[in-house]
Amino acid sequence: MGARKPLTDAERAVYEWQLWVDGFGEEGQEKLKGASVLVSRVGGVGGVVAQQLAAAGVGRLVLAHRGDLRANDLNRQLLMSYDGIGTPRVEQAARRLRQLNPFVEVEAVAENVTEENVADLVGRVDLVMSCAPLFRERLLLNGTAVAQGKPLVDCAMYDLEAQLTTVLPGRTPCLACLYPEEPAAWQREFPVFGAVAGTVGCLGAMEAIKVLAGLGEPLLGKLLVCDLRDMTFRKVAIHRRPGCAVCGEVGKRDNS
Amino acid sequence: MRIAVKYLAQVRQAAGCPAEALDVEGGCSLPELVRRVADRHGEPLRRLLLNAAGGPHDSLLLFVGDEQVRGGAAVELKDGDVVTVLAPMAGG
Repeated sequence: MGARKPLTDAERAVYEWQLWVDGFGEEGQEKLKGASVLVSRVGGVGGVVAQQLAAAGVGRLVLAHRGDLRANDLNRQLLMSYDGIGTPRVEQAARRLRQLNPFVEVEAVAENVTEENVADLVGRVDLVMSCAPLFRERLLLNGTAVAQGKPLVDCAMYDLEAQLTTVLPGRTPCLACLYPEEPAAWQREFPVFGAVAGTVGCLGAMEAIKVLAGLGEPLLGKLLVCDLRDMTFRKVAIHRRPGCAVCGEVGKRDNS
Repeated sequence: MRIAVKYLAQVRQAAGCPAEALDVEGGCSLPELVRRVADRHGEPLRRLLLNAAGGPHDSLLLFVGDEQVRGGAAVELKDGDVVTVLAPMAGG
């Protein structure tokens, strides 16, 4: 994690209400200010993740998202605006976040995560938020985060359902333990309400804040499964896959 | 014995129901249960659940109670078990 950074009086004024949170306080806020997070895509889930992390005062956000805004993005992509249709999503997102919190440094990268850029993007930050709509990107991020020893929070949704887990390389299952191959049945376009995407985005942002500030109990070795049709929230135990091609060798020395 | 099966995400859509109870004569392993529900509901659930060899997909998430069990594991189910079948999701 990054080094703690002292707060200014202006920052204390913005964060005053969360400084009252038990177990967080000024020390936790300084940790957030010293931290950096990559948000892979700022759509329905990642946009809300980025918004919450900016509001919470994470010092530097790197947003990676390629492409221009379309009308059918607007039911869930809350950092965008109707008059921005046809213009780059990531620029709109960065602008909104800077308006929300000028004390946060926001880097806009107009690319999705690819094999070519993933090592650089992950290398720039302390923690990775996995919010892309394709397993290929999520598994790519996972492999690089594990290789670089960076925590990763995976936030996903479908229809009225969502799931969330936090990967600490060498300590918890990684995404490749869960999905050793790209699930063939997943479709690029899927049913979605913005409120579902936003729910898992907020939950994912809270996971990142907890990991960065050392607060509470992140979802380590647990998968949160949410069904918003009947508001069922379940925490189920997940396990490392013996011989996992991505994390199988990571942490063995520590555990021996 | 009676096994409760819950379906989530794409699996729920393909099964056409969120949950059902299966009465199973004699013993039944987890992979066998997955094959039974695939047979019961046919395509497209079969494609979501089973690989070319007829076993559960490696990326299928299966839980007995609140504990993950790998699809290929020959875990014997018991009366009253609740099995959750969750297809991977990546909506962002």
